This record gives sequence, structure tokens and C-alpha cells, in this order.
Amino acid sequence: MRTILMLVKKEFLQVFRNSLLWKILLIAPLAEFILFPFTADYEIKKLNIAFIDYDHSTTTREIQNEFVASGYFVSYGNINSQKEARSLMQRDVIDFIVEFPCDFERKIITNEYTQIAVTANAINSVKAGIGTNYVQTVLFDYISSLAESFGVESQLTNITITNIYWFNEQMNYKNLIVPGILVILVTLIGAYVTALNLVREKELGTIEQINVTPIKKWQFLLGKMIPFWILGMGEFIIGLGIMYLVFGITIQGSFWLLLFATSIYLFVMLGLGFFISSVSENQLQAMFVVFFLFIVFVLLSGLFTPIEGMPSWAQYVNYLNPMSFFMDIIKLVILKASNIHDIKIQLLVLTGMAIVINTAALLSYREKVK
Amino acid sequence: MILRKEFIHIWRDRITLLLVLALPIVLVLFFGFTISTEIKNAKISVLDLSNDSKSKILLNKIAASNYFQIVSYPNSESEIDFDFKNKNIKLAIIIPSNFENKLEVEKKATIQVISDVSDINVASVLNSYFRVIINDFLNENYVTNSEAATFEVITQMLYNPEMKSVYMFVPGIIALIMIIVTALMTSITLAREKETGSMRMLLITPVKKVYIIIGKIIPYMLLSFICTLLIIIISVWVFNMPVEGNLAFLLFLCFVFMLTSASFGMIISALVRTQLDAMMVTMMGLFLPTVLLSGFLFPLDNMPQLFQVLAHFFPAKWFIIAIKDVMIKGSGFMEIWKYLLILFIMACILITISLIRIDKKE
Repeated sequence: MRTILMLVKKEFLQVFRNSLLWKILLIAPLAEFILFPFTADYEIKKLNIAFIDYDHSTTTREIQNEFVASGYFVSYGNINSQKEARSLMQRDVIDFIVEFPCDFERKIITNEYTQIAVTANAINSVKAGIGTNYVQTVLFDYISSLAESFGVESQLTNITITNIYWFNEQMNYKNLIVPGILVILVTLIGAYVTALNLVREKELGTIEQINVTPIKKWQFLLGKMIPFWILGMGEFIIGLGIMYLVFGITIQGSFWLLLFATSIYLFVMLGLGFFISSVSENQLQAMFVVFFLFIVFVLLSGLFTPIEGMPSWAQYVNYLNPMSFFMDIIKLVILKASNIHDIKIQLLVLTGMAIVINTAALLSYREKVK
Repeated sequence: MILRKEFIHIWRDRITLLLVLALPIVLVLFFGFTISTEIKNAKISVLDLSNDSKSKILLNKIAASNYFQIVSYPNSESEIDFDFKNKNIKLAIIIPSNFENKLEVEKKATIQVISDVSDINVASVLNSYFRVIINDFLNENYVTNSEAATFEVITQMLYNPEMKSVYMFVPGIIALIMIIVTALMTSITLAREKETGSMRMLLITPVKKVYIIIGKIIPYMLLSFICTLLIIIISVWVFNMPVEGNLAFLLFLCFVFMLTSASFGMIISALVRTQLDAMMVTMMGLFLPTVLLSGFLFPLDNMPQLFQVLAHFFPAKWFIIAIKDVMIKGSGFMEIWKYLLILFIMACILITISLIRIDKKE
């Protein structure tokens, strides 16, 4: 026990002696955490829309107002020709063009067939896809309310859909992205710093000195892990504080449950970091391996793109992704007030991963020393 | 000489080399295959309070669609809460009692849809899928829905008719890879020489400092050029991404951006002492801001003014605008010379500063 304590002390000394490292480890991530949620807004809104109106009627004007009123669109106003519209789109000034044919109003009132042409700038397929949905919703809603006011609709069978929104009543994207970024930061601290730490001792040759001391291998690893575990937990707790103070997100579930889950997750990430560092030869290599895994973890975690949209092979790969399980836990506990029974599967999986990866790290480190 | 030494270094570290080359491939394939707005088989729960023939028809319709997959039939609202937490459902649908009766006699029924809006985009996509299903259901069972018959929205997807996500991501991935390979790797290798003390040995040789630095950077620029070519080849070959503009011009654009990111690598390595520092500074100071502020994952228009201004200082923003124009819209030099100039000026300023700093240090 005393040996471990000594090692922990050594590690802390090293971190705090290097003034830059200390800042990088604590201040930079927290600063990023405060700033980035403001940028990571992938909610589709403020779509620039232009209209080509051959009808010039009250109806088309009202529809244009509806678009602005929906809150998703910013109107560029009327333009005269398809050609002008194309050139605006070419320069990325507008995202959508809505074209009303002549006699649009008359045809709608007399129930004749008519069309509205919508052109979307589809380079960003996500924006185009969701935006087109919005365009259609606005148009259908307006036309059906119009039809109703003319008494056409009243004879028809109709189904109304009432939407109820759970877990994020204010419809604020930050409620998802802030916990997500917290997960990314904890992962970065856990895996990166430890991965580079051990290789560094190897590169500098100080590891040889430790190997000849009577310190046991597991004591050494534990002595390396505990300081970074404490750092990670500290960072996580401060992060939660920022989440509440800056972004006003309260933890719906239990705070202690969240800490418990994080402590397990950190062990997975620390173990992964050590495993990588004991198999790699230099820091560059270790960094690249971690980076590679990190990118894959983040992409698959479902933070930026829905897991349901992924092909099934990717969903299977996801079963090996600790970040995805942890992201689940964070979302469930922070946003949905889940208790320990709701997340027991994820917790068990993470515990299993922690055991496997740490055993692997210890074994491979032993192997190396022999 | 320095060049050869660095090449030997890179070649000796096969694992890193392999990873560096594999990273762009994996990224493009991942982004290309995993990112789509089309959501398939979203899990939902259905609370059917009427359980009559019409509600069964509707449920069959929902189950038959590719979009939804009914995973449970709860009996009460409290069980819906349980499903959201344990079965990862995205929507819960509550069909009212006497559904058939309401439709046939009152001609009006209300279906409640509870959505998990922790991810707003997913929720809105699923809600519009559901609306389509309901409209179809009405059209098939009650041939009266005149609005659908008289009114049609015809959409055209310009520049990307098949709505492929690669169009959006390939430029961003090229930018990221170049930053990783040129900025990150150069800053780390320069820091390594400092850390292990071999920099001092190099400096007492008669080789000029500038040549040492240039010799260290060129191999990584070459490497990142290979990566860029790999990305372009894959995106054209696997995803049929167009290269509308001139290929040589496209590569020239990439080269200018490479120069800019290499100059970032230089300045970072001039500031730090250890590899860990170099890596953390590049990750936190350059890589993450690039991901977030370049406009390739998150639309810049949505950000607060401050961040939109901040984004001007990261080269990736300009590069991504330019490369998108060249690849997809076929723009030439006249349309994008502004962006090229910005990138070039950035590189010049940074290289000058870091050279001055290095001179001072010794």
C-alpha cells in the first residue's frame, strides 16, 4: 500500500511540476467544455429560403410568412427567375428555392391539381433532408388549414397527431451535446494522457530504473492509474458543475450513480491507455493508436449521428465501444432520471471491459519486462 | 540528409505509418456508410387503447414500414417511461380508445405521439415519417383525403441528387487528415527531438536551422499528400463523388492548405518542450476547434457571433469552402482565389513567427 502511495505522489509531482502539462490537463479541457457547446449546434434551423412567385396572390404571400413564422427559415425574399436562384445557390446564399406556379391560389381553392417545386442545395444531405421535411410540413399545414376554412376538409376523415416531447421539453440541443462533450473530455483525459505517460518513461529510460526496484508490476500500474483516475474524476465533477452553472442542465437522476458509472468508465479508458502504451514503441505510435480508436468510438457513439441510421454491421461493432455504453448511461441518468436498474446492463458491460482491458495491460506489461 | 533521416524514421515505425495511411480510409468509409439522416428500424412502443380492427391495420402498417420497429406493447403510460429508459425506444404511440368508432362516426381521431427529444433531429425526422404513414393509412382506408390528391410538392436535390453524406464529409475529412498528419506529426517529431536531446546534436552541426526544420516537415507533407490522394480516390471510386473542377487545381489547393497546417505544426513545436504537450496543444488548440468551427459538422450560421468571428482564424474553414466549390460545383481559380490568398498569408505569418522564435531560443 505504501509503495502505491509513493508512486501516486511521484506521479502528482510530475504533473504539477510541468506547469504547461498542468494547464493542459485541467484548464484547457474545461475551457473547451464551456465554449464548444455553443458551436456544436447541429439543429437544422435558419435555413435560407428564396421564393419564385409566379402567382403573386394572397395565398402565396401568406405561405411565405408561414415559412418565416415556423422559425426554421430565414426568407431571402422574392426572386424573378430560376436562373437567378441557381446563381444564388451556387454562391451558398440560399439553401432552398420554393417555386409557386401561376394560378396557384385559384387551383387550391377550386381543388384542382397543382404543384409546388422545391429545390434544395443538397451538398449537405442532412440539412437538405431535414429541411425538405420542414418545407413540406409548412406547406401541408397551411394548405390543409386553408382547405378547412373553405369547408372542404370538414367532410373528410382526419387524424390529428398531438406531439408530446419528453426528456428535453425546451427542445434545446445543448441538453444532448453538453453531456456528450463531457464524455469526450473524460475519454480524452483517461486514454490519452495515460497512453503517452507510460511510453514516455520507456522512451526516456526511466522505466528501466523502476523495473529494477522491488516495486511489483501491478503496484506500478495502479500507482500510475490512481492519479489520473483522480484527475479524471475531478474534471468530471467540475464539468458537471459547469454543466449546471453555465448551461442550466440539472442531473435528473442520481449524482452518486453518475459518479459510480464514471469511475468504472475511467478504469476502462485508463486500462486501454496503458494497454496501448505497453504495446507501442514510442509516443507518436501510442498517440496514433489512441487517436484512431478515439475517432471510431466518437463516430459510433451516436452523439453526432443517430445509431439507428447506421448499417447493422456498424451497430454490431458498437457493442465493443465503451464510449457508446457510457454515452447511454450519461444520457439516461442526466436527461431521463434513470436509476441503477435501468442502466445495470451498461454498467455490467463496462465493468467487464474494465477487467479485461486491465488484465491485458498488466499481462502485456509483464511480458515486455521479461 | 535531414530529409533522408526523417524518411528512415517514418519507414522504421511501420505501425504508425500503417495507421496514418489507414486513418483516412477508415474515416471516409465510416462517414460515408454510417452517417445518414434516413433512420431505419427506430424502436417504438405502442399503447393501443382500442384494440379494434382499424388500429390493427394501422399497427401492421407501422410494423411493415422500414422506419419503425415495434418493440413493446405497454399497458399504461408508466410503462412507456420504462421503455424509454430500458428499451431505448425513440417514440411511443398512443392510439385512443374506440379508434375505429371515432374515425367512422366522428370522422376525427387523435393519436398521441411521445418523442424522446434528447436528440432533436432524430425526433423531428421520426415524427415526419409517422405523419407520412398516417396519411397513407387515411388514403388507403378512407378515400377522401383531397389535399393529397390536388396538391403535390416536387423536390429537387441540387448538386447531390442522391443525398449522399460523403459530399459533405469528404472535404472535412481531407482537412482533418492534413491537420493530423502535417500539424500534429510535425509538432510531435520536433518535440521528440527536443525531449530526447537529439535536437541539440542537430543544432551543433553546421546545418542551418531552417534546413533542419524544412527537412523535418517535407516528409510529413508528402505523407499527408498521399493520404489526401487516398481519400479522393476512395470517395470517387466507392462513393462516386464527382470532381467537377480541375484535378491539378484541386491538388494545388490541397498543397496550399498543407503548407498552412504545417506552419501551425511549426509554431506549436516552437512553443512546447515535450511530446505530450505538443500533442495536447495541437489537439485542443487546433484539431478540436477545426472539427467544431470549420462548418463541416456543425453549420456556422447557427453559432453565436463570437464563434463565427473566431472561425475566421482557423484555416480549415476557408479550405473547406474552397475545396467544396472545386469538387462539387466545379469552380476555378477566379472563384476561389480569395481563399487561397487567405491560406497563403496565414502560412507566411506563422512560418515567419516560428522562425524568429527558433532563432531567439538558441
